[in-house]
Amino acid sequence: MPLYLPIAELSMNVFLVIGMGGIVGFLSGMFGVGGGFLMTPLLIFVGVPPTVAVATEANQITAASVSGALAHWRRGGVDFKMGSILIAGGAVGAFIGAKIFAYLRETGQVDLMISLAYVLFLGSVGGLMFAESVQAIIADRKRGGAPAIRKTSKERHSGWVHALPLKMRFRKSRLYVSVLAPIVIGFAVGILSAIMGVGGGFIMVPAMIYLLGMPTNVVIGTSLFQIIFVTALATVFHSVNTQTVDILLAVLLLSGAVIGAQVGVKVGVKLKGEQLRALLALLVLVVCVKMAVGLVATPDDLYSITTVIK
Amino acid sequence: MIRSFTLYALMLCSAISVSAQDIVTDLSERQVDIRYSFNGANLLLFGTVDLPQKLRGKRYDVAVVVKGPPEDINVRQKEKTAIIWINRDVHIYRNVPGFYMVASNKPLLDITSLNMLNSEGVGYQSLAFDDKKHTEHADIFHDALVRGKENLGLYLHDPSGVAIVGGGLFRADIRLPANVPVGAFKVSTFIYVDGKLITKREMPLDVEKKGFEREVYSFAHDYPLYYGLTAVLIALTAGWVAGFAARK
Repeated sequence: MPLYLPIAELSMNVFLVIGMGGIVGFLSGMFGVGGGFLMTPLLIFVGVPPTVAVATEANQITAASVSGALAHWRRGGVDFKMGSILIAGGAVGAFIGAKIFAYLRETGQVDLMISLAYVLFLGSVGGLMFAESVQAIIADRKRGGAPAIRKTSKERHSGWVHALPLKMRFRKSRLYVSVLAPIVIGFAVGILSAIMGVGGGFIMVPAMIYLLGMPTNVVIGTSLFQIIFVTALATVFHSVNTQTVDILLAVLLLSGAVIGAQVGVKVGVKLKGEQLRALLALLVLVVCVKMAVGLVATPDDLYSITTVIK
Repeated sequence: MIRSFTLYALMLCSAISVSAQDIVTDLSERQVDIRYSFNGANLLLFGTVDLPQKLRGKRYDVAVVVKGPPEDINVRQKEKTAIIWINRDVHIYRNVPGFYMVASNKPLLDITSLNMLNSEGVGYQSLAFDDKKHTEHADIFHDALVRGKENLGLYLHDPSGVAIVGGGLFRADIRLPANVPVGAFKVSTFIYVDGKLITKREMPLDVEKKGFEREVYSFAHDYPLYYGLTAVLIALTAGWVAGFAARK
């Protein structure tokens, strides 16, 4: 059944769009990421203009994150204090990111920047996560399935991040850490969110675990909580700057995604943390390689055309 | 079958007013509305020509040109830099037809000369886009623009797209793709005999967004802040409802 999308200005099959939303929603619920890093390339691949894909995806992630965050909140998995500080940084980041995005669109480099950002961030984060989680799985096998030794409070409070000033106590995360660290992480994720059409969970989750030393049980819920607000802001900024948010496309995607996310959360709870991370890392690497091939391979046509927006 | 019947029925109706003019053309639709179910449109152009006394009985040729509203296009050339391909050189073309279709009953150059075609803007080769930079590679960029538009289905060239039915009747199918630009179109029909332009006729065609599609588009462009806030509100509600429903 074809449906004409008013902002993307093309006709798409309704069931294809809802189905894409459902699959990505499932993964987003399972891994605690917004799913944007899968959906944005997928939308571009099926012919949606990259600018519309990025802006619309920000809108769609908001919905997926709300339902995901609610599920984690009921299990007590959201640190609201930490989340609020991440949001403060994220708001500024999203604003600047949307400005950069509008500028790149004018100069014709936005597609390149989207691809480069994907390859760079997905490649490094995916690689690190994969190596770490495989080590954890091997260690788990050696122990014969006995529960992993929890990191002690002292272990979690080591590293350069914990030498920063302006420390604050986060009860839920059982942390005493500088507010500068979550502000900077939130800021970086906000920029990526606006440029790449992602929630930024793939970078925030590892940053929270490895840099801040947050316990894994609050990481996913808190990251989803932050993503709700940052993607909501990115949606508004893109609407104002470039008018590229397609509400109809977003509604179709999210109607599939919200259902998929609920199922995903239930499956995710049953899997072990390191297995989950290894799977997520693999997925991240696959998308990264796909993007990298697009950058390096000789294009079919060296010339491309774009309509100048007046 | 039904189509050709409709064609003749329509011809019969328009034949009444043919006496005063030497060419009459009409379209199955003068206005194309883009609604939620829009997936492109097929239009039928039909016409009748009454050749002057001295040419009567001669074979004639028909060319139909459909031009969409003008737009500005950037054509970019990728260059390999280190190991990746980056957009480098750019040519900006002003007032490029957003849509261009040319159909004829036989290849254009079998109908008439290049000069003749160019003078009336018939065929890709006649599209003289305003180019800000006149460099030695202008031709390559011009071809890239036409090729890019063709790949999008927005430029079409069909040397057998016009059917001469006989008895002064002809017809052409016009296919507008789903990504057709909106605005005022111009449909021109040219009649040639022995390579000479005998007569021509121009018709307007409007492509517009209507109903819900139009509302959304206008909302997004006229009130971008409220549009963004609405989008967020919808997303928050949908996520909350789904989360609530899953709990039950």
